[in-house]
This record gives sequence, structure tokens and C-alpha cells, in this order.
Amino acid sequence: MNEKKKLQARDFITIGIFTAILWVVQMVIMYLGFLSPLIVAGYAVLIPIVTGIPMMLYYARIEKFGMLTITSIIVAILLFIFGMGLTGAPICIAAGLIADLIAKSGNYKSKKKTILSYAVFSLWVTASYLPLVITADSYKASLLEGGYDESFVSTLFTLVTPKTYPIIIVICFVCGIIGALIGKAVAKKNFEKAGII
Amino acid sequence: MIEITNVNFHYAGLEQAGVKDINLCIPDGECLLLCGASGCGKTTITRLINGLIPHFYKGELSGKVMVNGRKINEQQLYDLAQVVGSVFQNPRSQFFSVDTDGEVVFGPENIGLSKDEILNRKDMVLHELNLLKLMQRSLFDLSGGEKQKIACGSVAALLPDIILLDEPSSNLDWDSIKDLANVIRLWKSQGKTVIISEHRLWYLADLIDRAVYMEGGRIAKEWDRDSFLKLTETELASFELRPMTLEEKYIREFNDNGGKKPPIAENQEHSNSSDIQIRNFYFTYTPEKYLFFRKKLTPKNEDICHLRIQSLDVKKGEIIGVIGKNGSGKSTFLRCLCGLEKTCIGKVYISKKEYKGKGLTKICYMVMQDVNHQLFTDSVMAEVLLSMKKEDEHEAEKILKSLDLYEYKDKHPMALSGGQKQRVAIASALAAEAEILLFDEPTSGLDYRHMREVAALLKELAGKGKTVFVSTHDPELAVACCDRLIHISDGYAYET
Amino acid sequence: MREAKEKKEISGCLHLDPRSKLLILVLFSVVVMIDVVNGQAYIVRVIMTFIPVALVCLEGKIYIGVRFTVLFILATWLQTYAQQHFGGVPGMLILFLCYMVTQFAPTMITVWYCISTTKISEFMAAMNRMHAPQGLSISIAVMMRFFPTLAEEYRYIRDAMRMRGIQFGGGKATKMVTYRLIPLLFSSINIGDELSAAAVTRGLGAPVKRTNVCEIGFHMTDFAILTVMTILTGLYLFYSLRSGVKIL
Repeated sequence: MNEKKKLQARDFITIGIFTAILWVVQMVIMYLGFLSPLIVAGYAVLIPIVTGIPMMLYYARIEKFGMLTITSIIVAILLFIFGMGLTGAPICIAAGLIADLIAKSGNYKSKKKTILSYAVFSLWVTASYLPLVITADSYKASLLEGGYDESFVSTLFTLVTPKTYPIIIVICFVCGIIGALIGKAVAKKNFEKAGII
Repeated sequence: MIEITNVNFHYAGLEQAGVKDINLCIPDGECLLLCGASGCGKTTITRLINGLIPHFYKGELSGKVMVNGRKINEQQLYDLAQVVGSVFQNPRSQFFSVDTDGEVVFGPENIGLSKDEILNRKDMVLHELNLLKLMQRSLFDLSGGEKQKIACGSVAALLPDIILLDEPSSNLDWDSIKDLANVIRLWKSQGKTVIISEHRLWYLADLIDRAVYMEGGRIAKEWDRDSFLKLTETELASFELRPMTLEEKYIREFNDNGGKKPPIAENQEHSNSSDIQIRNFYFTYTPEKYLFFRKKLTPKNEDICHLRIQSLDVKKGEIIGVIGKNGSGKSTFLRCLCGLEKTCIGKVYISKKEYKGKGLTKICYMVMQDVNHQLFTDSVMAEVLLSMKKEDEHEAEKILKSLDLYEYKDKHPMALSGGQKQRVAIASALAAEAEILLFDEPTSGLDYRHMREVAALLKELAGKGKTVFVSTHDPELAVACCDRLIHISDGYAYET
Repeated sequence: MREAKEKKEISGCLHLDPRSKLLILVLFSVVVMIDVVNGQAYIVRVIMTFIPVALVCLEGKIYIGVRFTVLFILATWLQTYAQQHFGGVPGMLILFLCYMVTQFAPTMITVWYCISTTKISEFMAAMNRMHAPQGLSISIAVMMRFFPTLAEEYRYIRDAMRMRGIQFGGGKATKMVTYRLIPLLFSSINIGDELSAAAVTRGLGAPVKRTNVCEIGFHMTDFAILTVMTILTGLYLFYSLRSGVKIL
């Protein structure tokens, strides 16, 4: 492999930094989820769009194969630590690897490939839904036992159930594309203008 | 022996000049000073020696650089690490670990030495550099000076023969600079080659063997030790270099003599209603432990406070220099004064009107030490408009013109130079119609000319009727522009 | 002046091996996956929740432990109470909040405990023992070092925003996000470059096996805590499966 195409110490540092930023941004959005169940459902919309800004800068900073895979492995470890890992980790790593391959096929320069790659990458967000999807049934049951109106409970859970899971994946992918476009625009307006990429 | 022959370097994709026609030979054991204005190429020379050029910073390099008897481009950075050690300017960004122990052994661990060897070296370095007290600590809790010491230790643990220091004193206070000078003295006595790129010259006077002056990427002048020391202040000033000696008076004042005079207290007779009155600035970082509700601070809690200024009167349009050691409460005072510390109970009276808490943010504006944190928009113009209560482009243009920023109005603030960024921050302070302007270490890491410029600018602001507080470790700045100096020690304010 | 703040203790007095902490986290994530609201399994779950609380208290952070305990009990009580007495949307919101607290707060405090008591060098040593690739370890170490840096940078940016009164971005959500994110990214890039330069001049990236000076290893306390945790997790799985909860 060409020496220049291989990740070097400096790149590993950049990977660490951007993974930290990615994780902190998504944690902030997650904490908003403590406020309302609707925001939890909105993770698939908010996280891909907001993290699009740092991620587009990230794509422009390294442009080497492996960056997204490593990021996704670290995110998977973190998801694991935060209790969403058993099912989420494989999805997350797969998303990262595929995203890396797509970006590589465009040599990390092609705009279209980068956007597509980011949309695939953001599917890791759906991994964090899995435990909610899985525990939804038992939680729903416990609410019904508590005497709640059934129609009310099921409205709440229409947003996150095994049946709507594919829809969430699609939403997440679309928002990934939107996020990448916004990220690209912000990068152009700020980072390119300031001359750092 | 370091040999640089006919070297030209141009950074890829940057307008940044790089260096031209450099010929420099540094024999073993020499202590060399690189001086000159910002952007003159000092840092580039250090990067040529430690191999960051061409291995890390890309660009066009011609000529030959020989370090340790071999060409630099044929040696890998990790091999050079054992030959050349580098201490950088910013203490905050050059450590890799979170804890001090890990940082000292970081280098030896990287090159895969044996465990025993590493621990031996660690012991040696800790003793030599007096770092034992700093062990077992989080690097995030250390002061800038302590961080810089750890950085020196971490470099020394690799046992390099050549040590480079790139503006190492920029963020340090008086005591830390003296510690740094001692470290350099030790390295010199061990026969290491020491190369220092620096604006502040006073602490290096008795250390250097030779000085190289650079201008526009070229070596413009060279002095040996004796002729350099003979240069007068005016001669230095003609090269836009800072003075070598400091007036005794400032040395004493900066060297913390607190406690001899009583702290400044309220003085009814002299208190003039046209003055700005600062009252009851008490604040603590370690409030009494609480379970759910925080108790409100009162002047009675004085003994747990980190800032305890009962009363301070200043005149409108005055420039007040705030001096004192790192950690004495200078920055805390400024932060409280502009309303950033919510639990500070202080009040400010301007012409009988009371301001406190959040209200202070309306009349005070701080230009932070790292000005990058306070630039938010994508053009200089937008930055100024953002601060205005009502956007008024005409007024904004006037402000920009007064600060020589008009030609950059459509540029991205982050694309400007350090001094220009500082002026953008001042422009937004003026746009916000702040009465009191606070500057936190505005000249750290600035060369002589820029320091004079800042001093002139502060005077101009004061002339417009703004009251200016400037915290500084820079005696030269204090001499150049302050009307009055306040010494802060242990949270108390003293008149000097 | 931040250095005047209370010195944070960075190494725990229990000296658990990072690998045991990792295992504790794994066991916890198993427990969180299965949601149980009553019965014997629930009792086991509560016991498990309070093990990290006890650890936190043992490290001298009693206030945090007490605060957490009160919050947890309050949330549990409110959850039961709300289920019986409140209805409609507000009731639902309260219930959801309590659910999040009881469900995720135990994980949060465990994670906080594990991260705050692990030094990077210990972590690197553990990664080394587990034969993780070096690049991955470097990235993770940098990431862990970077969290406090991000917090520090964010504080400066927040202060600057407060001085200019633009915390709320003039009411626009997009500006609220970009005003925070863009300065943060600019300084991260700067710090990243300087950090990389400082690290490579100290030999990072050398093609040799990196040494780890840090001593790690399993001690009595590790075995004790791991045994207790494993037994409890086993019990939890047993009880919850018996009461008919499905996994996956």
C-alpha cells in the first residue's frame, strides 16, 4: 500500500479528535431526549443533520481509507459502554465499513460519493434505537398495567416499534444526505473561506 | 552539529512566507537565539531542524539540512525524536496524556524502550527538573507554567542532544519564566545544543552564545554573545526587538510583594461620583459543599474566597494594568467584572447606576486571551453587526475604519492574523457600546511591534472615554500604556 | 485560575483493573437490555444499580452518591405514583422522564465512575494486553484526552457568547448550533495540529511495539467485585427469563 494512503500517527490523532466531537454532539442531542419522547424519535433526524457539519470537515481532513471504520469501531465501543451495544455494535461497525468503502471508491474527493458515504455512516444512529425497540413491548405492557388508556400508549409507541424500524432507517438515511449537504455548505462558507481545508 | 545549507522552503497552499537562502551552522553545545518579528521564519527554522519539515508540514523544500550527520529527509520523525526534542509555544495543546506521569514517559514508551530503562529515565528527569511535586496530577489542573515544565520533562526523557524551544515563554508568568530559564541553564551545562526562538529576551540574556536575527524569511543579522549583550535599548528597538533588561521596579512588582501594604479598601473621602465604583467582588471556586441548594456568598465568607476585593474606584478613561502571578486571581477578577461568574456578588456603580450579575455583561466586554473563541460569524462585517443592538452597517463601517479593518470586512475572521483578530474582537466590543473593556493577556506571544501597537490601541480606546482593564505578565506593556497598576495577590487587590 | 479549583483525584483508591471495569460495563449493558419493572429480578436490578453508587462513595464522592440515590428513589416513586394518578400528555412526559432516569441513570453513573477513575496510561496498557491494534488505541487515547479539552473550549465559547448575549442565536435554532459548533471546530483543528506535531516529535508512530510502563493487573478487589457482579447478572437473567421476558 502506498505510504501516503496509509493512516499515520497524525491521522489517528485526528480520528480521535473528530470521534470525540461526534460523540459529544450526539450526547448533547441525546440529553435533549430526556426532555421528551418525541425528541427520542427525532434522533434519526437531528443527529445526522447536526453531526453533518463536523463530519464533512472530518472527511476533508484525512481522506484515507480506515478513518470511518475506526470511528465506527470507537462509536460501537462507546455505545456498548453506554448500554446499547449488544445489538447496536455490529450495525454501527458495518455502517462505518461500508461508508468507508463508498468514500474510497470516490477517492474521498467525489462530492456525491462523500454524501452517500455519510448517509450510510449515519445509519449507526439507528443502532442506538435498538434497545428502545426491543424493550418497547415490555415497557408498553407495564404502562397498560398501570391503567393507561390503550390508544394513548400505542400512539406514543407508533414512533418507535419493530414495525416502524425500517421507516426510521429510511428517515435516517435521508437526513444523512441533508446533513451532508448542510455540512458541505457550512464547510464552504467557513472552513474553506478561512483556508483550513 | 546542525548544518543548514542554501535552504528555501515554501509552505504548500499557504501565502505564509516560509524561508529563503538560509545558511546556518550550529555547533554542538551552542545555545542559539532566533529572534525577529512574528512571521519572520523563526518557527520554520525550528521545524527544519526537528524534521516537522518536510515530514509533517508539506511544501517545496530545496537545499540541504543535516542533523546528526545525516540528511533530514532521510531520517524518520520517530528516529529524530531521540536526537531532537521540541518544546512548543502552547502549553495546553502539546500534551498527549491526561496525567503527569504518563506524559513524562510518553516519549520513551513510543520508541519501545524497556520498562526498567523508562523508569530510570523518569526518575532522573524528575530529579533534574524538580518535577516530583507535580507527579500524580491531572494535566488539566496544572497552570501554564507547570504544564510547560512537564513538557520540558517529557522531551528530556528521550535524552536528545538538541533541544528546540519555540516561543516557550509566551503564556508564562514571571516565576515560571525563571524556572524555564533554569531548565535551559541545566541543559546547557549538560552540553546539549539549545535553540530558542523567542520574543522575550530578558530571561535569556545570560544564557545565549549567539543570536540570529531574521527578517522576511531571511537571516538578516548575527551577533555573538558579547556584541548582542552590548546592544542598547534603542538599537534593539530599531530591530523591533524587546528590551534585554527590565527596570528594577517592575521586576519587584511582578515578583509578588503582596502583603506589605493593606489591600485597597473603601475610601469615602476620595470617592468621586464620576468614578466607576467596584464593590464587594467576592467569589469562590470552592463553595461550601451542598446537597441540593447552593448558599449565597457573602463578604463574611472571605476566607474561602478566591477573589476578595471589597472596594475599588477607578476613573473613567483610565487604563488599569492588573498584574500578579498566575493563579493569583487576575483572570478571575476580569471574569467576575464582566459578569461571567454567576455566583460573584459584586456590584459596579457608574454615575449612581447599579450594575450586577448579568447586567455587567451589558457594560463590560472582555477580549479573551485566545481570541479565537469569540469569533462566531463568517465575515468581519457580520461579526461587528452581530454585536449591535440594531444592525447599522454605516456605523459598523465607521468602527472598522477606525481600527484599520475596513479592507478585510468581507474576509473570514479566522483567516486573519492574530493581531487583526484581536482588533475584530475590539470592534465588536465597540459595536456593543461597552463602557469598560477588559483585556486578558493581550500581548502574550506578540513581538515588539505588535506589542507597541496594542499599547497604542489601548490608549486610543481610553481616549474615547472607555475604561480599560488589562491583565498582563508583560512589564513592557505595563510601562508603555498603563495609567495605574493594581497588583492582585491571593485574591486581594493592592495598589502598587 | 481554574487550577485553584479543588484538585480532582484521578486515580481511584480501589485500583480496579481497567479490564474489570470494562467487564462491569458489559454486564451492565446486558442488564439494561432487559427491562423488568417488578418481581425478584427487579430487586436484583436495584442491588446491581447500587454497586457503582457504593464504589463512587468509596472513592470519596459521597455527595454524588447521595444525590444519585435520592434522585433514583424519587424517580422510582414518582413513576409508580404517576402511573396511578396522572393521565394525559403531562403525565406521560413525567413518566417518560422517570423511565429515562431509572433506565439510564445507573448506566450513566457506572460509566462516569469507570471513566473518571481510569488513567489513559492504564487504559492503553489494558488495550495492549488485549492485543488491540495500536492505531485504534492511539485514537481512543486521544479521544479520552480530548473530552476535557472540548469541555474547556466549550466553556470559553459559552462565556464569549454570554458576553455578547447570543446564547440563543437570536431565537434561531440553526444559529444556536452553528455559533457553538464552528468556533469549537476551529479550535479543535488548531489543537489537533499542535498536538500531532508535539506527539510525532516525541516518537509517536514509531514502528516498534509500544512499551507500557503502567502496572495493571487483577487483584483481590477485582475478583470480589467481578464475582458479585457476575452472580447478580446470572440471577437477573434467571429471574427475568423465568418471569417470561423475552430477550430480542
